Amino acid sequence: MFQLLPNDTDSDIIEGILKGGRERQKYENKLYEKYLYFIKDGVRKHQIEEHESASVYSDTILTAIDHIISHRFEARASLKTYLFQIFSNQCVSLIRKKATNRAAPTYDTVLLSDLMNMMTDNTQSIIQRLIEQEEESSLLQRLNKIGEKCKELLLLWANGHADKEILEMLAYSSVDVVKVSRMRCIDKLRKIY
Amino acid sequence: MENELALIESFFNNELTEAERQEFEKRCATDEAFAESVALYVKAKYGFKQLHRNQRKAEFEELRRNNQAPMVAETTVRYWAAAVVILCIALLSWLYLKEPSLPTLADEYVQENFTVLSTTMSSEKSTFKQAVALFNAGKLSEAATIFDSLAENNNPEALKYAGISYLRLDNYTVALEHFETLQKQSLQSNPGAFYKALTLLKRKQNNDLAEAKKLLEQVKNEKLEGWQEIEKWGL
Repeated sequence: MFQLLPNDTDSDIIEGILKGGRERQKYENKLYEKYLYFIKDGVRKHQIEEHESASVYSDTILTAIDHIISHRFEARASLKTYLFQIFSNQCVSLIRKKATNRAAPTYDTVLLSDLMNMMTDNTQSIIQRLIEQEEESSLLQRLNKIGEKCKELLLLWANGHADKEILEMLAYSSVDVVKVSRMRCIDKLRKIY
Repeated sequence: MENELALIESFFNNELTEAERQEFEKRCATDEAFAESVALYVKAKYGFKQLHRNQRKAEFEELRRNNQAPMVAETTVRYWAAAVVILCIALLSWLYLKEPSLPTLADEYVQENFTVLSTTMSSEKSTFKQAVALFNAGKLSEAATIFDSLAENNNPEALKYAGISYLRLDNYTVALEHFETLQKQSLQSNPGAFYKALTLLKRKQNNDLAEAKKLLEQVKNEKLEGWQEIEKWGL
């Protein structure tokens, strides 16, 4: 048997994601479930494996969520069209990567470059060199050692939740306490290194 | 240290003036410890973003596994459901409103009129009454045998009841023989043609339906016994 897709409209989902807080994840999941059939499309049209298509689809949804949060998605096209473009591009990137066995531009590097683009070329190269000294897997392992409370706080921060949202989600006493706690947690990372 | 991180955060939040930004960039180039702090901040933000993405991807994968059945847009399902409902309504309407077929009408007639025979319709002879009683008791073969023997002299009443008995026994060939014999008799009221038509409609072999229709037309046109029933059928 088939299952029904959630019937929330795109604007409901966008509004729910932008509302932030704990509701955000619920609407992110709704968005993920709404266009799940893209995965089959990816397999059929791009002849990639289902797990690859599923991974690309997850990346697509997470990218779109980032764009919604940062208001880069301006609703000039429908959300479905927007997602489909990202999904198709990422499928093509994956195929190229597989064909050439060369690292095509991936979301990971896009993420990092977002931060790097904030700096001038000179500063970028200094910071880049320091970051590259550590492999990503090693970085993630270290971050996991920071303790649950700090990890939870920094995950929300890195994922674009405002301090006010974090205040409500993690029951801090004020926005200032959230900010100070975040600084202390980042500083704690220094000690782990 | 917290102030330093606050400054770094202000830089990435685009909260610094142009002069402050230039100072920040200059410090990165000249102050190794400060550059390390900037790198730490970037690594933390990038790293936790990656961790979050990995977590969410795992959660999405779980959602996908829970939705393994082919996903169909609810609107599509609604259209299909509506189409199925309309088709069902159309089918039921057709079944209920359509003119019943001649064989169905014949079945209904046999069911209503040939299940119990009226004793008053039979002759006064006790053997006849006995056969009618057997028929009404469901002992159709025994009744048919008695009616058969009584029909040897082409007794129209016996021929009729013998034919009805064989019709009920689904022995259409013998029933037809009796009704044909009856049909040939010159009577004031002769149901032979009508009953023969009923038998053909029950038998439903080769040309039976066409022949039955012809007979029914004849009964109707010549106002033979059964013509009123045929009019009720709308022929």
